[in-house]
Amino acid sequence: MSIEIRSVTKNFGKHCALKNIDLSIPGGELVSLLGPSGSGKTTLLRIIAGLEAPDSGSILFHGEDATKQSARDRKVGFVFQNYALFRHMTVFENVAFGLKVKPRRDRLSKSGIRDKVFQLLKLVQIDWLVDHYPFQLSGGQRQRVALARALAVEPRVLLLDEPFGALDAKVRKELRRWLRRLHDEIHVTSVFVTHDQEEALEVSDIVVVMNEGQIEQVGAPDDVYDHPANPFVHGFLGGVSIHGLPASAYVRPHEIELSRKRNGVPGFYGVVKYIFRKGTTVHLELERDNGECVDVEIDRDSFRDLELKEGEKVHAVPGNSRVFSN
Amino acid sequence: MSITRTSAVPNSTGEPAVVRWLLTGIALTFIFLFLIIPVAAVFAEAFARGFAGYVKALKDPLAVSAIKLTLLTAGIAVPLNMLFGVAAAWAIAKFEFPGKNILVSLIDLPFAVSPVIAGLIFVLLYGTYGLLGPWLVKHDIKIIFAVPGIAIATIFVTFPFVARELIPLMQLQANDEEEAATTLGARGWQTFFRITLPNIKWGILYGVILCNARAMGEFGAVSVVSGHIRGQTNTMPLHIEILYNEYNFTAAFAVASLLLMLSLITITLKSLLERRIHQGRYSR
Repeated sequence: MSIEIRSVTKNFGKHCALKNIDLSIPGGELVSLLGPSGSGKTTLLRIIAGLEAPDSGSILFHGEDATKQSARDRKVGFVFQNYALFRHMTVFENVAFGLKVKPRRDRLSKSGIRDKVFQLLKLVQIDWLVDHYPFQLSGGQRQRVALARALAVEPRVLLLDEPFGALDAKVRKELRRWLRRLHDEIHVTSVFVTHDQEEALEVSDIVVVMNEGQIEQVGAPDDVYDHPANPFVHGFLGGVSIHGLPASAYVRPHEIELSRKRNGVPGFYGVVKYIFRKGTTVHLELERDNGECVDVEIDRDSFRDLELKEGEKVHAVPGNSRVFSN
Repeated sequence: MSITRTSAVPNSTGEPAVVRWLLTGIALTFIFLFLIIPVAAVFAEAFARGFAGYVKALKDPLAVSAIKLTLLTAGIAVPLNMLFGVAAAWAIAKFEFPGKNILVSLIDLPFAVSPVIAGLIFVLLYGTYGLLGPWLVKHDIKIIFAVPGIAIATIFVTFPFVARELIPLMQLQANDEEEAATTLGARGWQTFFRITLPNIKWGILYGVILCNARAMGEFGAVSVVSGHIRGQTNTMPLHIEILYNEYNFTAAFAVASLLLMLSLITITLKSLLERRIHQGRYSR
């Protein structure tokens, strides 16, 4: 099921959350809306779901205008940031909810519902928790229940709001890979909101980078990472900017080479302000003469060879830099 | 540094034992003087002429009529205020609309107004010489000095209880579960009965119990609108006052003991429910 967003605008009072958004999401893909908080990504997701109405513009599902359809009629699965599990219901009842509220003629029999719920719980690998209440579950387990509940109604589109936001780092990584595999299995068009660039680049087929209510760039993860459309996308995906080397250079921290001496290559000098050791790499914060701070990432071996200490001067050469027209 | 074992009970704030005993003693004396003795006195006086005297006092037709009227009044006021409370709390917690803040303040009005004034308001409105009096007389509708007036005054005095309890509860629960239910295909009424109501049921019960206790015990407002017609417009509190003024202490305290038992039941249920609601808030 493809989703088409046509010139959608949304204001909350005086605050403009979305400015004339156009976006088309092809069917069957896993798409991420990536942006800092306040970029409008959650608002866009809620508008797709029908939980929020746009001030102007329209939403099309599979070419059909769904703008006037209520959230109930849109047949979307929505996974909320805090999961919004029904706290007075067991895992079984939560997942069965969407099946039980159907009008009688569309409703499965009791045993049909039961089979379906168990099938879904197996799919999300928590069938052994069927009689537990939400407060007895861990964050990752709640997430899986929320997902199974959303999938139970066989949604045309699956929407996830910061699906891994509330989980600790390890569970987060595990769960997002699992989501990727799950998507490869069921192929329902999915859109998820995240502020974590690593998550977006790792999991999705298409990344939509948003900022201040507008879309900055749409593309495959490699595309967006290797060819950022503008300084914002570059910066948000972890790039650094260096001004005045004839023009402004935009590079990634790991694309900067450090040496003790200038070897005739154009670059800049900087004083090492801080050193952070992060596993296999070392992050350095350099301060230039003009006060600008530049992040550099080098591997452990090079760091050892350089024998750098905080407060020492070093020469940096940015490689592979990009220039943006503006 | 060596660790020494002290025999005293750990006392983190370090008050001397004297202070602790003194404070505890004052509190207990207070409770004894102002709560335990009066409660005991009511029952002692009620049974002053034995169990037979007690039963006889309660079987008195006037007492029975007062008990019936009190039950009827509470039976009208409590369900209506429950409906009103749920509706008001729902509107206030889940929607934005103009005049919301005024509504929130107005809900508290009955708590701020003296019950006697509350009663007088209705006399001025519905009394023979009141604003709507001539119209009511013309259509032969009796409100003041009759059961409808008592019910209206009671509704007015008790209407904050359910709403007050539910508003913070529903605000805390936000709208997520309702939204989830909607995306899963639930209709408005399905969402309300399957999601919203189960989440607030203990809060409703809590509000209803307090509302009921006040509805049955209300004196001031009801006294103004009742007219004190024995056997017709006397509720239990009014009946108790009349008996007392007639020096009929045994009968007065017998009826009073019923109200007192209602209070004890209310307190017990209230503390049980507080635990339920408290658990509900954290079992997310």
